[in-house]
Amino acid sequence: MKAPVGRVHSVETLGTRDGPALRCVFFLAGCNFRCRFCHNPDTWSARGSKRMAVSEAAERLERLIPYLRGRGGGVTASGGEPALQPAFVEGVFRAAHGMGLATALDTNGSCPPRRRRRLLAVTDVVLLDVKASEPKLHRRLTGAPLGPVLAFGRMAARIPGRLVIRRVLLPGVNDSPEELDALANYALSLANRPEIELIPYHRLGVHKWAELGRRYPLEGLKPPTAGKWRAAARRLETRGLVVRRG
Amino acid sequence: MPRKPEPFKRGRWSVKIDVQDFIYRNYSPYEGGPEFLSGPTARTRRLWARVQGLMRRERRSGGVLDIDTSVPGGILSHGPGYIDRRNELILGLQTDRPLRRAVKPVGGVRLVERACLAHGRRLSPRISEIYSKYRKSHNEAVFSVYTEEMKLLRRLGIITGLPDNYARGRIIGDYRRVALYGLDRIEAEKRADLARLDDFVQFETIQLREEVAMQLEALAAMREMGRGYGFDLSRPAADAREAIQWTYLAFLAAAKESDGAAMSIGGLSAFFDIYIRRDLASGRLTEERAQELIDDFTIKLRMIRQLRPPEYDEIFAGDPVWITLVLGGMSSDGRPKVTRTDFRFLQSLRNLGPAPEPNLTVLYSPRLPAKWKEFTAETAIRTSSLQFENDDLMRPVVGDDYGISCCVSLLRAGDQIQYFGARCNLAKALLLALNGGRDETRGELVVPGIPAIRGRYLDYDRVHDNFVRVIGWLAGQYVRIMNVIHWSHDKYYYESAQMALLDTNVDRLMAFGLAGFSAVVDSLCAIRYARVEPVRDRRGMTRDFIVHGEYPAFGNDDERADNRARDLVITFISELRKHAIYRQAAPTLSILTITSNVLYGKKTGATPDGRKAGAPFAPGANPMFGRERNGVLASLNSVAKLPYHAAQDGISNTFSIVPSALGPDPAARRANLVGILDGYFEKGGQHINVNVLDRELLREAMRHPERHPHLTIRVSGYAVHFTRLSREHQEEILRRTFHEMM
Repeated sequence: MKAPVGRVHSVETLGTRDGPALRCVFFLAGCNFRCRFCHNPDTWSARGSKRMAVSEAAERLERLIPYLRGRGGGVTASGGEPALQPAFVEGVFRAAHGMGLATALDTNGSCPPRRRRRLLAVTDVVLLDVKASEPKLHRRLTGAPLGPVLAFGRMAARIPGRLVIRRVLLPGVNDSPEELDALANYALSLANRPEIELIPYHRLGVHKWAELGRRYPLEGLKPPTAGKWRAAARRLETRGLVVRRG
Repeated sequence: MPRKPEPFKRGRWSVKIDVQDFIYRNYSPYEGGPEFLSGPTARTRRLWARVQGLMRRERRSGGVLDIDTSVPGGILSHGPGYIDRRNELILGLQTDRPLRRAVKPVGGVRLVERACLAHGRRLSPRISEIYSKYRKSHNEAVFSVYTEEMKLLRRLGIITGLPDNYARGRIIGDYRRVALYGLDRIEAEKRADLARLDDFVQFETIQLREEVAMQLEALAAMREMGRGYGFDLSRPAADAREAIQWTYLAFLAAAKESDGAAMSIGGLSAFFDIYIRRDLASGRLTEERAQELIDDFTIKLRMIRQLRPPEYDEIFAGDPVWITLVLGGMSSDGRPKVTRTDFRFLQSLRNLGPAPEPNLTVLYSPRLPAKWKEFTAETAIRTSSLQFENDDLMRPVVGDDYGISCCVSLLRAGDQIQYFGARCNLAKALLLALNGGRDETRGELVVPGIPAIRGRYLDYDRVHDNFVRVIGWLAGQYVRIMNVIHWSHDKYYYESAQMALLDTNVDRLMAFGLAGFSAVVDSLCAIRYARVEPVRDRRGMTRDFIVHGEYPAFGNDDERADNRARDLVITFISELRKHAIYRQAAPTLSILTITSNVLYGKKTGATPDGRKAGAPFAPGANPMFGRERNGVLASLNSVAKLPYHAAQDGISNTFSIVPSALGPDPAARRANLVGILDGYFEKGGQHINVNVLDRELLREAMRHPERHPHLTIRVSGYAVHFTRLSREHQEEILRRTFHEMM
């Protein structure tokens, strides 16, 4: 079998927000979603990305072992959409496990169905982005259907503690009571209760849109106030969910 | 009723002067957390408020509160001084008034005159007369010996920052000896040493006899200075307060006599802890009082002042004295050397608020107790006032009782000194190689016999050949310059107080240094892996470089760049080792610039890595700003690979981060910082400054991006160099980082 080669946008060796403890984050290039609030639009296309063999990624990880091992740290595959490159991610995760490092997948769930089981088998934590819980809103925000996202989450939740649901909180867009209740309903319907990471929307990626010659579709949208974030968190907490700030 | 204190466990220290042995036999490691610590008492608060008031006045008066322009400073030049006599627990000031600076004209009277003038004072004409007519100064002596070549290297800033116009410092007296043995015993040992120095055929013996005689005078002066405060330093300290007081007065004597650029104080915590523990056990001391003693000692160290000429401030911004105090570390037998007093020193940062002095340095090992590691991480995050150094790397070299001289330089306690040698501007050396041995700014011929480099693009092999030749020639000149400086310093500005508290026969190091390190590594990589087109002026000197294509840069954990970095360090130290050194000192090398990277960069033309003329270098061994593309850990790995055996004077690395990039909440930040430190030191890194930036520091980073090479902003799934963002975004980050907006 040919050794899988990944298309990598960039590597961040000090990841502190994408999975537990310290992570080396591989941002993979190429995404099937076109989220209107995306902060990494530069990773949508695989063009200009670096081709990286699993062995090269593993070598980098190996040199980071003393920082990452023994406290729950490890590697995170993010992007772009890492699940679109399941063979590469699997290879890297397998190598990471061999080094005693934990693995995390920051994904929208777009894994080809026949690869799901294998990918999840080597994934310790799935950070699943559920950008909206109402199918029409999801399509409007991301350009993609909601079904596959939820299906992937359902599989990931079969093992306790593996699934974390991420929701970027866009004030006036996906923070309505109906939206939050639908999110809670989904979370509570899973085999194991996932943790919810509520990420306040931010505008730090806006300049990238301009650099790519694109118009930012959410011009004028403001980050949520602390009060709005708290209210959303409380609504989910009253349903018995554990909410963290992302 | 206090009980009689327990006697100390005896050992080699009871027979010979051996402070390490005393500590080793008597200290108690502490593996608990900070719960036992005391906050500031009302007395401490009052005293510190008074000092802060004086410091505010000092800042308002342009940085210098007062100068005594009438008497040359010395151990006995000024009588006792107090802040608030009844409320002070540890006594002693450098002059008769707090923050009043003494003049030290033996370093160079002209410099002192200029320093006085810069602060609106005039040096007493009598002192000017004595030191220009009757008494030669160190500065004059050096310049009378320098060759034209040496002066040229100095003037062009190729070998630069040299201690030929300021005092070399860097020596660490073993101040604890005064507390443990008392001056009588130390003096008796010195007299015995003097009697044994009788081989008059050797010039060195005569020199050393004269030095020991000066040391004896210093010891007598220390005794008298102590008496002025009502203390009898002839005998050993009887309790904790005396142990701290005696140690402080010994350091004070040194700070009164010399104005060295860095006057480190070594490791005191385990030593003090032995006394404090004994007093606590016998009921003569409470925890609150113990903390007060450490707080007062810290206050005293924060008040040490030296008068500096303006050109000194240009190199070392911020009026530093580098009273480096080491904490923690491991004992040679595998026990942690962390004591409750190590915690107490960090507690002083909380009780008094953070400050750069004393320069607290944590000797780090991943094997240290978890609670201590967490406490140091938390303190670093809260104060940005700690630096960390690799105990596992240094302990095997000198044993478990050592100090850090200045910022990163290892010195064994009690019997080792270093001759400080500033640094060679390596970027200028590379430009000499590209310009036929001529200086890129003036066009003057500096290094003979370097062939000109022609052709549209730079050829790596030719450049490398030339560069190695330049380095070989420069290393020889550098050693000679240092020989001149330290011969003169020993003769005209001998540090008798510090040397009196060290063994008579000391081990000597000569500490050479490099600046512009990462710019040169990247330049070599650019020439090797991209195509570099020099732009030359009419004289043929390189004015700028156009880099075609990409190259691997230092700071990305990329072997192509990191190997070149390693090779550069080893090449330089090997060249230095070829030359005979003053008093058989062993050469060491540092990659350290402190704040001078900005000044040296300003004086250096464009370099082949694409750095523009006058742009700053990265500080110390840091990768060049903005060229690290794989995040902090990759950058740390590149620096950690630099071979410590070839740069034992220290490899400095500065790490800046905002709290939110370190982790989502305080507990995660603490744990993550411990993870970073464990990893960096396990990888072999020697030193790291940790700046967890608060709002003010971020504002500073907006004004001076070059000072904050690692500053990365992190939110979920997204990272960016702070200084690459637009102004508007920086403002947003500022707001976001400090939780004004979510």
